[in-house]
Amino acid sequence: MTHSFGYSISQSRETNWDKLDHRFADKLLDLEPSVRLCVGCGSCTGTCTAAPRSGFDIRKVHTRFRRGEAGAFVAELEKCMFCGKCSMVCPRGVNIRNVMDLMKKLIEA
Amino acid sequence: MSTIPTHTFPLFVVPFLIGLLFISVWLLFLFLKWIGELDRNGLVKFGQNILTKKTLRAIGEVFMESLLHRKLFRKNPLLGYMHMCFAFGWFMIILIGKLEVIAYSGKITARPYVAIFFKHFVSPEEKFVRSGMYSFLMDFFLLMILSGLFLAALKRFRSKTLGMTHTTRHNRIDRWTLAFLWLIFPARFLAESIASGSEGYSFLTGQTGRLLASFLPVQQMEIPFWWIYSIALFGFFILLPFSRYMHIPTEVAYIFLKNWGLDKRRVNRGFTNFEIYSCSRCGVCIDVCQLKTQAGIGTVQAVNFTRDIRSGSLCEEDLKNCLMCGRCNEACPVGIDITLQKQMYRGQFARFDKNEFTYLNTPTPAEQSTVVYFPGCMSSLSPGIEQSMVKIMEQAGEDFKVLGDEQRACCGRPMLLSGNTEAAQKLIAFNRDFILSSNAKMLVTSCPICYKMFRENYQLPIPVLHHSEYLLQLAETGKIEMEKQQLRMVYHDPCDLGRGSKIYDQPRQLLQQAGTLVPSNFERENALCCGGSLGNTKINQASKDKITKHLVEELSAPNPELLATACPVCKRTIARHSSIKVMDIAEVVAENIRKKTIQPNVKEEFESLLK
Repeated sequence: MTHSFGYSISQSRETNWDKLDHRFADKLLDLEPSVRLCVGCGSCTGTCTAAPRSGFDIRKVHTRFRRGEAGAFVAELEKCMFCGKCSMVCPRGVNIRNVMDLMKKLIEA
Repeated sequence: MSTIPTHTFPLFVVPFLIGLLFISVWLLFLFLKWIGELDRNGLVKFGQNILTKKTLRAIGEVFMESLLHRKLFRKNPLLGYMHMCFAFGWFMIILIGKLEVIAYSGKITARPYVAIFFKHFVSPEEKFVRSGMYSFLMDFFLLMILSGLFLAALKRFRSKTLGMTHTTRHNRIDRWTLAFLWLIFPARFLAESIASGSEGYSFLTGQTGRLLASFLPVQQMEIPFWWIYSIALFGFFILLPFSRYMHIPTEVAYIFLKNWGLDKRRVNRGFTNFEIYSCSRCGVCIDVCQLKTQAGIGTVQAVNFTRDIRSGSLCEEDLKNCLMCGRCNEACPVGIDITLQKQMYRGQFARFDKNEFTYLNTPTPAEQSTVVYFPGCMSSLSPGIEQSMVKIMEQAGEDFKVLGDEQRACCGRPMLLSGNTEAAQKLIAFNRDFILSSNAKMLVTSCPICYKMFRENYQLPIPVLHHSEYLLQLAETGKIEMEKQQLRMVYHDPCDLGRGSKIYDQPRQLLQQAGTLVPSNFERENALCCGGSLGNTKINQASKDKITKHLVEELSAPNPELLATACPVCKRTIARHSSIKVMDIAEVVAENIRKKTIQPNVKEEFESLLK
C-alpha cells in the first residue's frame, strides 16, 4: 500500500439536480431533527472504529444522503459496527447512531 | 340458626363455580400453550429439574416473594404490608377454610364451594374439633385483608403515602377487575356477619353480626349478600386473565421456571410470555427510571413495555428509547429482567443483521504476550486511561500487549443491545479469534461494556478481568504500591460493571489505597446511569444532559475533590457537566503509584561495578 499521507485526489462527482431525490432526506430530518445541527466537521469519521480498515466515511455518506443520493449507499452502511463513538464525539450532539439506523430503515423500506 | 347439609346446592354458588371453572381451564390452556412454545433446551431443563431440590427452593421463593412480598417490604414497609395482606391473607383464608371443612365433615372430598360459603352451611352454634380456633383464624385473616384493602384505597388516592411518586393508570379492564377484587372481601365480611346473626362466630364477624342483628332484619339479608360475594368472585375470575391480576398465577409459574434454570438469554418465546405476564404493573419501576424522573419521558418504562407487548402496540420509538441501565431490574418486586426482554424484542427492528463486515476478513495475527489489554472503542476516546494502564503494567513488570484500534473490532455489545444479534455474533467471532491468536493467559479490558460482553457472550477459555479487578490483583500481590493521598473521592458505579456484572467492591478497595472514599446517595445497585449509555439509540442530547446534570449534582453533593469512575463512557459523559475533576480508576492508580526504589543489593552491585 502506498502512503498517501492522508491526502488523495477526490473522484470527480457530478451533481445533477435533475437526478436528486430528496424524499429520504426529508423523512430523515423529520424522524431525527438533530441532523439539522450537523456542520460537517467530520469528527464522526475521524473517530469511527470501522473507518481505518474499511474506509467507511460517515460524513460523506451523510452528506450525499442529505443531498439526495441515498440509493448509492446501501453497501456503505453495511460497514457500521454501531459502536457509538461518532455520537459520543459529535460536538453538535447529533444522534448519529440513530441516523445510521434511520438511513437503513428509509432505504430498505 | 340451623345447619344446612353440605350436600345441598344453593343457587348463589353458581356464579362462583362458573368463574372457578373458567379460570382453571383458561390458565391450564394458556400455561400448556406457553410451555409448548419453549425451545428444546427449555423443555430439557424443565424435565431434568422438576424432581430436584430446585423445586423446593422455588416453593420457598414463592412463599417469600409471592405471598409475603419481601422485596416490596424493602421498598416500603406499608406497600409491602398491603400486598402481603392480599396475597398471604387470601392464601391463608383458602387454606384454613379448606382445613375447617375437613375438620367439620371429616372428609377431604367436600364440594369446592362449601369452604368458600362455609358460614352459610354451618351455624355458629354448631361445635366441632377446634371450631373456635378455626373461626378465630378465619376472622383474623379476613381482618388482615380488610386492613390491606384500606391501604390500597389510600394508595389509589394518595400514592405518596406508600412511597410511590408515580404509579400506573389502569385501563378499563383493570378498573373493573379492581372493583370486583375490592368488593370480594367486604361482601364476604358482611355476608358472614349477617349469617352469624346474634350468635356470632368470632371477634370480627361475631361482633359485627350482633350489632347488625340489633337493628336489621338479618334473616332476609343473608342470601342477597352471599349472592354479591359470589358475583364478585365470578367477576374477578372472569376478568383476571385479561387484567394486571394475571400476575398472580403467572408469577408463581415464573418462579418455578426460573428456579429450574431455564435460560432467558435465548430467544425463548414460551418463557418470555411467563415473564411478561408476571408483571403486575405495580409501577415501582417508574420511580427509579431516570428517563421519567429527569427527562420527563413517560412512555418507555418497564410497565409501559409489558403493557404494550400484551396489547400488541409496542412501537420502535419507545422500545429503543431506553438506557438499558438495569435500575428497573433491581427495583422489580417480581424480578423481571426487563433489559434482556427489551434486547430480545429489539430484534424485531434489527437492521444491521445482514452486515457482512467483509473488511474484517483478513485479521492480522496478534503479538504474543501473557496479558492482552483490550482498551475498547470508548477507551480510545479517552487516551489517558490507556496510557495509565500501560504505565502501570510496565511498572508492574507484566508481559502485555495492547490490542490497538486498527487491529480489533467493536466488541459487539452495541449491536447486541440494539437487537442485532447476528451482526454481534460476527464481531464476536472476529475478536475472539484475534484475542486467542495472542496465546494470552488473561484478557484485561478497561471498558465495562466490553467486559460484560466478553464474560457473557464470548465463551473465552481464558479469564476476563475488568481493569479494576486486574489492578487490585496487582496491588494485592505487591506488584504495584500506591501512596495514600489526602484526597476525598466519590466513586460512580458504571451500569454494566455494577448492576450488569456485579463488580462493586474491587474499584472501591483500589481507590481506598489512593485516598478516602466518601459515599454519595446513589451507591452500588442503586447507582444512577450517567446518560451516555450505548443502549439508547433514540434519546436526544437535551434529555441526556438532564440525566447527566442530575447525576453530577448527586455525586458532587458530598464535596469531593475528585469523581472517580471505572468506565470511559461515564468518565467522558460526567466530565462534560462537572466542575470537579473526573478520573478513571486507572488514572488514579497511575498518578499515585509509588516509584519502585532500587533494591539495596542491586544498588551495591551497581556501585561495585562503578569501582
